[in-house]
Amino acid sequence: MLSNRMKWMKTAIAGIAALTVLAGCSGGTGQEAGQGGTSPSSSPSAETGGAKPKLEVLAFNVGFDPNNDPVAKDIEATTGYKINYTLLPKDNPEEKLNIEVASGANYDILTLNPPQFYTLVAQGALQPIGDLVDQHGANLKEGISESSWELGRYNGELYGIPQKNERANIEQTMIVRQDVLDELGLKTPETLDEFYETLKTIKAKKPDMIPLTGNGMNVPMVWSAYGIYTAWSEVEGQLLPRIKHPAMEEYFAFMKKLFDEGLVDKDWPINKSAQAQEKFISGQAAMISGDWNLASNMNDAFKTNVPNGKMGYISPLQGPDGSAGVEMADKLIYVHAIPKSSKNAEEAIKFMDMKMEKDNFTFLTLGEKGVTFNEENGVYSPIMPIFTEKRGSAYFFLNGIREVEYAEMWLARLRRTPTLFEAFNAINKDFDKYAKVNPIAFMPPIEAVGKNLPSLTQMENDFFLQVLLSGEKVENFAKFLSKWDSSGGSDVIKAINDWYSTKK
Amino acid sequence: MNSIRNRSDRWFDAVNNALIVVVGLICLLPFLHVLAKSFSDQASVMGNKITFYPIGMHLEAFRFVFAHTRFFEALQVTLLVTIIGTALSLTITILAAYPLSKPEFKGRKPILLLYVFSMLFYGGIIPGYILMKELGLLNTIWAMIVPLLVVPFNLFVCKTFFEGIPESIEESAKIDGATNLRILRSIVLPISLPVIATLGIFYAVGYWNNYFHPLIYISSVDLKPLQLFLYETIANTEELLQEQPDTVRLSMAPEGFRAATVISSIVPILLVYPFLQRYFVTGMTLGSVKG
Repeated sequence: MLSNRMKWMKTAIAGIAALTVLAGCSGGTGQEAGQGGTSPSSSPSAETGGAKPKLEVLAFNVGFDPNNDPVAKDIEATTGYKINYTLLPKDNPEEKLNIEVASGANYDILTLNPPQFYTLVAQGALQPIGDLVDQHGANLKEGISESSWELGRYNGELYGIPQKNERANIEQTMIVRQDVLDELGLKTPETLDEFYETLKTIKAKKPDMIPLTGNGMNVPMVWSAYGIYTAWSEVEGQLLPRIKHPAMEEYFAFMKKLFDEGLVDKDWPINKSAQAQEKFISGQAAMISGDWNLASNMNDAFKTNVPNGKMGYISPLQGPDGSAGVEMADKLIYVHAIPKSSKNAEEAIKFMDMKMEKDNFTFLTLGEKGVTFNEENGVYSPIMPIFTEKRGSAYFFLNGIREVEYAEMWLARLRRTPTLFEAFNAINKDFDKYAKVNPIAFMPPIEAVGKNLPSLTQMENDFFLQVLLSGEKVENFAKFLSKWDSSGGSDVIKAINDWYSTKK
Repeated sequence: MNSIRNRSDRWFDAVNNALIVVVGLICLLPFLHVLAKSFSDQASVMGNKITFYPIGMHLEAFRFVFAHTRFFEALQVTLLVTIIGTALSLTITILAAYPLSKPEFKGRKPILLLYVFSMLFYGGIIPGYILMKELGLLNTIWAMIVPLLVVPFNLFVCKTFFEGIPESIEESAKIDGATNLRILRSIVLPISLPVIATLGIFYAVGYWNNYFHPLIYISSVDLKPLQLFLYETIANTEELLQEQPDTVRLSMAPEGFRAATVISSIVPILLVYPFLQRYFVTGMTLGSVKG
């Protein structure tokens, strides 16, 4: 009898354990109700009195909390909409995005990068917004050009508000130690031969210095001399990738010559970009290939390590016929779309349209004239440091840009850092002369391309490094290209040319 | 003869010690390097001058981490999850393991099988996500606690330990008229402290380091715990620093800021380890031998 009772008691204890598990769960729902606003499932209308619903925005990851940002507060005050911002994780954002959208999470606006946008639109997860934009999007239509709208369409139907990069510009350059050039009485090289002679002179006069450091296979300023400007280019009516450009083999041979003669960093094949930058910053190297952002990022540390140092910029080198060029950055960066599950599509469009209204747009991107920025004859300049305090994170909150005006307004952001703007200007003063359009810049993602391109790029890079290290001869270039073709390269070329023929 | 053996012993010891010191240094030096970077100025870090001691010593990076990032918020979330989670986990594990350790307990086999089953099979990410959504736990701290509430392995360690307690001790209490709960509380738990401490550490470390569940279940910025904060801050460093006033931006290198974030994040758990290590070492072998 005693043992029977004991058994019963033990069952009861196990039961209590089970109950505690349940209590843990119900405690959970209580907690959630207590935290109210943080939950995406909380009903919006109750809090705003029904007039304007609270909108849920899902966007890319940033290092700050957008909900506590001054721009967010100004957006709310300007538009009257309460917004809750949620961020995708930095780690594997696509997985989370797919789970959230598939399970019908209550977002009203999704800020998507182009691959994310095209994936969701192909899955049928987004609402068509053409009619809503026609009805409520007068400002959106005014600010965004027709060619950009095309990027938000899928099968002829509009699914998202496209946002291109702020201003078409040249990013790539070669940063050079201007003080070293001056000291050795050299002028900035403009052709390939001058470039080679400059490296040789630096090597001869300053044996401790690495004439050119870098990593990987990309040196766009040198490509320019061979007529290789853009990632893809039309050769005899067909689009070909850079690696198949007729002059690519010569470029490989030239770089190998530099490497063998010790004119470039002997660690080039094993450098990562950080190591190459360290060599320039610490004054060990005279040149490095990079973009204007890099010039600005390195500048202060460089100045401290090399007090008399001065950065200069080499333009794209001229080919034998005097022509030169480099790919310009002109691309779709985000698409703002509305998921099928949203019940506030109309309000979301109205909200984005209000932000695009000319005065609102200026206020939300630059702030108040005379307080955070100045404008004179169309030249916008920031008032520091209040501009960064009030509008530093404005880039996160854009839902499309007024393309014509913002190209000028955006420069105010660059002018905040004098060295940044100086580098930007040095590179872009001859924009019209050098900027070349990549014919596939606005191509939607193609499966055969997305699947094969990363491994092909890796193959190209590996082959380049093998050539430098003499394991592989430049003479095997043709053999390499046929291997490239059979590793998915010909599929990529075919897919891209199929798309290109529909565009012409 | 004897002295020769002694000499070879001494050689063995010396080589052994040297090896252990080298291995120890291999573990310690990267840590020192990161520590040095976190205290160094921008020019030295970006110029690759830092080895194991700071150059241009300053605290800017830490000041920025503490004042301008979500560090304390994230730490608070993690502490809350770890403390509540560990307490709940221990309670439930003990309350489940105790009856399951009694052979005469009816339904013991099927219940144990259920636990084993959950050890071997996992529903998958998407069903898990949908379950959390339907339970209304998304974007609550419970989404980081409930999935880890009972770790079957820990339950079995606990159960095996309880089985090793002589039945006669419990019977003596029973004769004095103690209820089962009373026996558990006054007799079993006091002599089970080593296993409880060990499981406590297992659970606490599990909650502290949990990255996957918050990654999937937490979207609200203000509920992201330390591990997510760490990853996202480190990955976003360049963009974050870009938008700071010059006084901040120019004072530290991205690498220095990353180092300061990493150091700040590991110090709290580092402080706990020395106090618990004692249990950790003795506890590792717990439950491995059935008495």
